[in-house]
This record gives sequence, structure tokens and C-alpha cells, in this order.
Amino acid sequence: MKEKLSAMLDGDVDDVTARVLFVRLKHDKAFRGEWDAYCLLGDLIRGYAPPELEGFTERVMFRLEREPTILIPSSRKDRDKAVRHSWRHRLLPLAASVMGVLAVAGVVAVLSNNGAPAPTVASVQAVETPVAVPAVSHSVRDGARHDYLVAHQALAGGPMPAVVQYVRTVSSVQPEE
Amino acid sequence: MADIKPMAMAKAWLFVGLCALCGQSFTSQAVTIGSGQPSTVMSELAVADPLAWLDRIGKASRQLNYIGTFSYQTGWRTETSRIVHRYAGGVESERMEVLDGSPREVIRQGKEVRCVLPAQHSVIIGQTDTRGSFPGRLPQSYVELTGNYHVRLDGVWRIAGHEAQKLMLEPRDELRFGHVLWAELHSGLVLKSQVLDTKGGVVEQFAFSDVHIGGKVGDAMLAPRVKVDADWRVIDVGGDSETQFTSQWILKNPLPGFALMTMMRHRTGGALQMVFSDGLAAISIFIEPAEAGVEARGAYPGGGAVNVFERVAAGHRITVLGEVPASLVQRAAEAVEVVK
Repeated sequence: MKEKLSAMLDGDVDDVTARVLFVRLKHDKAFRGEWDAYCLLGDLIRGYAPPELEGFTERVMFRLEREPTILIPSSRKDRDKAVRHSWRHRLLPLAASVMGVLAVAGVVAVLSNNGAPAPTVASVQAVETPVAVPAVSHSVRDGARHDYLVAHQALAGGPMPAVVQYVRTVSSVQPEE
Repeated sequence: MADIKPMAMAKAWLFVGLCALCGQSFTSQAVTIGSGQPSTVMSELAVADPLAWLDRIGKASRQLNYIGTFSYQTGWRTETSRIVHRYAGGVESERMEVLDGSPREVIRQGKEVRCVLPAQHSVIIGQTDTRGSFPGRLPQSYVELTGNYHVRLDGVWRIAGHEAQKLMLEPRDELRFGHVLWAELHSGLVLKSQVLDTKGGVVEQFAFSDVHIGGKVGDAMLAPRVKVDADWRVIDVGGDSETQFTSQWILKNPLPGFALMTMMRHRTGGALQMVFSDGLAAISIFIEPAEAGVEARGAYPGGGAVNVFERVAAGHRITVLGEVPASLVQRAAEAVEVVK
């Protein structure tokens, strides 16, 4: 029956089947829940989000874009491979799966809380909470190679106490945030 | 190297000679002290000449013992670190630990600097060079500095509980960032530093929140805290001196106000590194063979005031980085060419 419900949303059922489905929707609360879930999923896929999920996609993508990449330059081959497969290629599958999981979680939460902000949604919103987001604005992915930075700072000097210059090198490492 | 005219050289030596005669020539003058708003107070420790201050600053950071906590801020991000510095027997020893997040550590013993990155299981070892000392290469550095920056004093302020002389180094063109320094009035140690972009916005800032200057610094305070395991990757970025003749690489167009300081060939990886300085800011150019199919990243931020530009030419990856505007690192990268 769920398959027919999904098919009706896509306009792929005949009138008789549609009438049967509407009758059941009228009397079966659980079935209506299924219908609501399909509608919400469809809206999300098409980019229409309820207020509870306002900015959800942007927040997740914002966070993903700034997620630091572990930089262990084990060999030149690895480094070059990393350049060839830019961060977008590596993160997009992850982003897609995260989006999928969170979208379903958001749908369930919205439905189960009768439209009120749900715990799952709240935890998603926590993604955008302060400190961590600006803290990765100069992640390793965005920054210069550590070996180049150290080599540069060793010879470049500057007005600050010598070792302080190296804070630029170590500060670009934020794997745990 | 930049050509320095004989008259300019003579003036510079005259200046240095006068400084030597006067020693730490403190003069009595009206200065302002304040936290937020300056107030007028007389101090006997105000050095009148901004260039003499720069000399004091350079020596203070190398020749003093100090322990302090400082914040490093760039963009929205702030990190707190602890630093211990000792100068004994002509040898500098330092330890810096980032207190926020992963306990990253920088250890310096003499010329060797080790950056310990626990999350990456990596240690990067570099060799410092006195040629990089600020202001460095007297008296040429003064000629370069004043040719590239307008240097002036801007009152005495209160930083981390200390009276500090504020110095402004305003760039004379848009090829370099501005710098603001607050140096402790008695010792010359820089307590706060800002790098300003061409519009006057703060690109990055170092600031001590507390600092103790002088006193004994024991070995235990300088000992590494992060345990380095045997399987960690060790990256040595040291190298051997190289000449422009043997390097086969040149800048077809000079960088205004910048002179070549040093050139070296990295022992690991074989990258050629050229360092150019304008007396304050520096640019490094790294050249190493590029494997086929590697794409250059172009311009990207290097963290804080550092900008990077990368391109591929003549089968080599050319990476330029420095604490200068993005336009200059790009200009430098595009000026690199192989000698035919």
C-alpha cells in the first residue's frame, strides 16, 4: 500500500486506486502519517523546507565546507592525488549521505512532534553553533602546507618573538573541532 | 639583492653610529598612557626615534627571558597559547604550546625549531636563520624599512598590565600590509601586534594577556610535553644554501621594495626556496618538480596574514606565500621563470 501511496504522489495511479487511497487516508491516522512523511520528503527534495528546517541545508553545507581535512603528506604521490581529487569530490558523497540521514531524521521529528521544533532538528541546529564554525575558517584545506609555512617562518622572521611566528603553522590545524 | 646607493648607505651607517653613541638614549617627553583612551603622563623611558625602537624590539625578543600567555586572532578565530623564552649563553630556547584544542607544541633550541602536531602524528623540523631576525641586516634594513613604510610612534598605551610604546608602520604602497606594534616600554618586548590590510582592517593579531619579563627560566619549563611516538612522520624542511646561478630560476620582474635574502635547496623533497624581504614582511617562493596532471590551485589563503599563490610552469609547481596582500604573491609567482 505504501508503494501505491508513493506512486499517487508521483501521479502514477489510476482514478480507482486513488479513490481507495483517499478513503483510507480519511479513516486511517497512521496512513495519513505516511502520507505526510512522503509529502515532506518530496518538499525537501524539491528544496521546500518547513520553518523548522529553515536554512538546514545551508547550515550543513556551511559546516561541511569548513570541515578540516586531515593533512598527512605521506608522499608526493598522495599529495598530488589529494589535489586531483579536490575536497568537493571527497565531501560530496559524504554530504549527500549526511543530508539523506538528517532529512529523514528531520521528517520523523517534525511529524512526531506535530510541527513543534523536534529534538533531532535542534541537534542539527547545533551544527551552526559558534566557536567551531569560525574556528575552521583557516583549516588545513584552505591553508598553506605546513612544511612550507615552517620553512618560510624559519627564514622570514618578523617583529614578534621568534616562536610566536609559528603559531600560524600550528593554528591552521583544527582536526578536533 | 636590492642595490643600495652609497649616500643612503652612508646615512644609514651615520644613523647606526649615532644610535651606538647614544646607546639606549632615553629622552623625556610627553607621552600618553591609557587603556582604550590615552592620558597624558610623563615618562623617562620613551625613546624618541621610531627606528631605534625597532632595533630594541628585535633585540628584546631574542635576548630576554619571558613567560607569558598570548592570544592569536585571525578572522573570527582566537586561540590562546603559552610561551616560555630563555636566552642563556647566546643560545635561545623557547617553548610554545597552544592551549585550546589539540595540544600543539613548538619547541626551539638554538637554531632548530620543532612543530609538533599530535593530531597529524607529525613533527616538522625547521632551521632558523639569523638573516631572518627582525629587523635584521643592519643598516640595510632601515633603508628598506623607511623606503617601504612610514614608521612613527603613536603614544604609550597599557597592554597586559605593562606600559607599551605603540609604533605604526604604514605601507607606502598597496604591495604590503600595515603593522602596528606595542612594545613594552622598559624592555622593548612586543606585547601586541596587528597586521592591517590595505583598507586598515585587522588581518591578524597577537596579544599577550599576561607576561613576566626577566627572571630565571628552568629547563623543566622548556621541556617538551607532547610525547612523540616512533611511528610519527618527521618532516625536515632544512636545506643547503643555493645561488641564483645554480638554481636556474629567476624573477623576470623585480618585486618593488623586496630584496632576495636567501636561497636554499631543501634536503627533503628537493624544493628550492627563495626568500625575499622588504625589511619587515617576507615572501617565500618554493619550486619543485610537478608530476604530470597536477593542477595548480591558484590563489588561496594561507592562514592569518599569509596569502598563497600556486601555479605550474616548466614542469614545476611554483608556490609563493608570505604575509603580504594576495596581489603580491600572485605577482611574484607569475614573475618566476627558468633560465634558458
